[in-house]
Amino acid sequence: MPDNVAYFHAAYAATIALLIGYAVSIVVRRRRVAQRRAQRATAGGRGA
Amino acid sequence: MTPAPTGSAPAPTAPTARTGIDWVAVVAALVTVAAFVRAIWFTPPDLLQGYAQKIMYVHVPTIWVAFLALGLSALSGAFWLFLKDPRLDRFAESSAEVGVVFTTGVLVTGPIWAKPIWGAWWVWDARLTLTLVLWFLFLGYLVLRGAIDDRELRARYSAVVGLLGALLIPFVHLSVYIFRTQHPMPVVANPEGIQMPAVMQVTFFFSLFAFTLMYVAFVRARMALATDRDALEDASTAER
Amino acid sequence: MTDPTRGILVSAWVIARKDLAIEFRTRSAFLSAIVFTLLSIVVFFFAWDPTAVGPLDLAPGVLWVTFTFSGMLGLHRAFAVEARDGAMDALLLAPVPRESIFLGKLLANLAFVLGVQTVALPAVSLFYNLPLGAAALPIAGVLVLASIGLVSVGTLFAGMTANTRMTELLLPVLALPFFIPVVIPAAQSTADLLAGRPLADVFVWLRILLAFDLVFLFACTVAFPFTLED
Repeated sequence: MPDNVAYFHAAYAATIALLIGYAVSIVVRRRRVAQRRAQRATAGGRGA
Repeated sequence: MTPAPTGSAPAPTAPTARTGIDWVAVVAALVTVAAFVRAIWFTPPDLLQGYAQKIMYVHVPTIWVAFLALGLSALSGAFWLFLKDPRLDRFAESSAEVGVVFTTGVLVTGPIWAKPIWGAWWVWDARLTLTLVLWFLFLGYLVLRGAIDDRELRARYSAVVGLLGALLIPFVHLSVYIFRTQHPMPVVANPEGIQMPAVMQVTFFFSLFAFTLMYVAFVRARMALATDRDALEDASTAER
Repeated sequence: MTDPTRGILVSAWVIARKDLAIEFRTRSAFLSAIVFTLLSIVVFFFAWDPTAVGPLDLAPGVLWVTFTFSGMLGLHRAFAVEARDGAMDALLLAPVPRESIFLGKLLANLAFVLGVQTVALPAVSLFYNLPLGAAALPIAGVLVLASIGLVSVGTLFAGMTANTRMTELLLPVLALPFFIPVVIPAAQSTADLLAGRPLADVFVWLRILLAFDLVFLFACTVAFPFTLED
């Protein structure tokens, strides 16, 4: 059997990193929007 | 021509009602972890291709999701052109972004698999080349959206570009396929081996199922972001 | 031909003539595109190692890459010319079917692109010493087919990107993937024809080009009204 375990590891690591990275990016962006809305609610007086 | 009611004062986007944990995402995450665990520790490697063959359990499902994302994004845009429901445009946007992420996954896992199996990182095989074009289509779509601030115009242009992009895929596939048959490039071995033993087939289809769930979960999350963003934008403009 | 169809084509022709008349008065865009094409062909020559790659292998690539990029240069003008003085709104208010506005622009763009190619093809043949001979007519045919495909998608996208923030960058980014199924058949058939292969051998490529033209000419014409406000 050819010795190519390293490629197998690299591919899985890359995929997992990509998926987790994207999930985190969505969470971060949602938090940012929620923060901005909270800022507006307290500063401007108008409800969201 | 009577002005369309959606043109003047858009109905305020109800902020996403979903608070707390998205159970679809939790289930998707659990199933995905299970699929990865099975693929990594409970499936034997192929004798001929070695451990690198296991990359297929990730590579092929990402291709499936990438093209599913394109199809649904284009379809959603088409429905928007006739129904003008903003949720359809938000779905198209979300599916496209999820699509570009998964397409990136294909373009990363593909060469990593190709190097040990075919001897080169990139051999312009028909499937990866088509995926590369898909990647450019998604990127162009997202860049287009980023360049338009007006929501209605953005939705309209995106829908047209999305539909034409989906229409393009079979033409690219055909051109590249005929190009490849006329200019065959050396291939070392039959890459997938349709005769997969049962244990590997189960892993494969389980993985396919997991990735499909992931698509659903990601699109839902991304749509929630889009809804929140639009709601914030509506509230800001309502003040002026 | 049904009356509405005839009406669309006649209006398209009128709009095309108007655009070409405006273009012909200044000719700057057309001349710029020709100069760009010639310069590109020359630059390609200096980037070429003739001992490693034969002219018959390189020339189709040069011809079709310059075709793609010079073709895109001319697409802007079709809608830029209306951007001044709000002429686009006037055009939309006129009693012409929306489709004919698109077809008129398309015809003008087609004339532009074909005009540039009547210079490009002889230039490439000259600089690379190509044995055009009997292949000249079929290659010209390929140029016509490819141009129709290019201007179908290009005209629609140029119209859309004219309304966005990053026009010059956005048009190539959006349009180039669509030119792939045009350039592959075009370049491959040109290479085959220059190598002396009979026309029948390249039918498979010509069929793809023709199918692309028919599908996208129709699709872009139908899509154009959707890009305008209701």
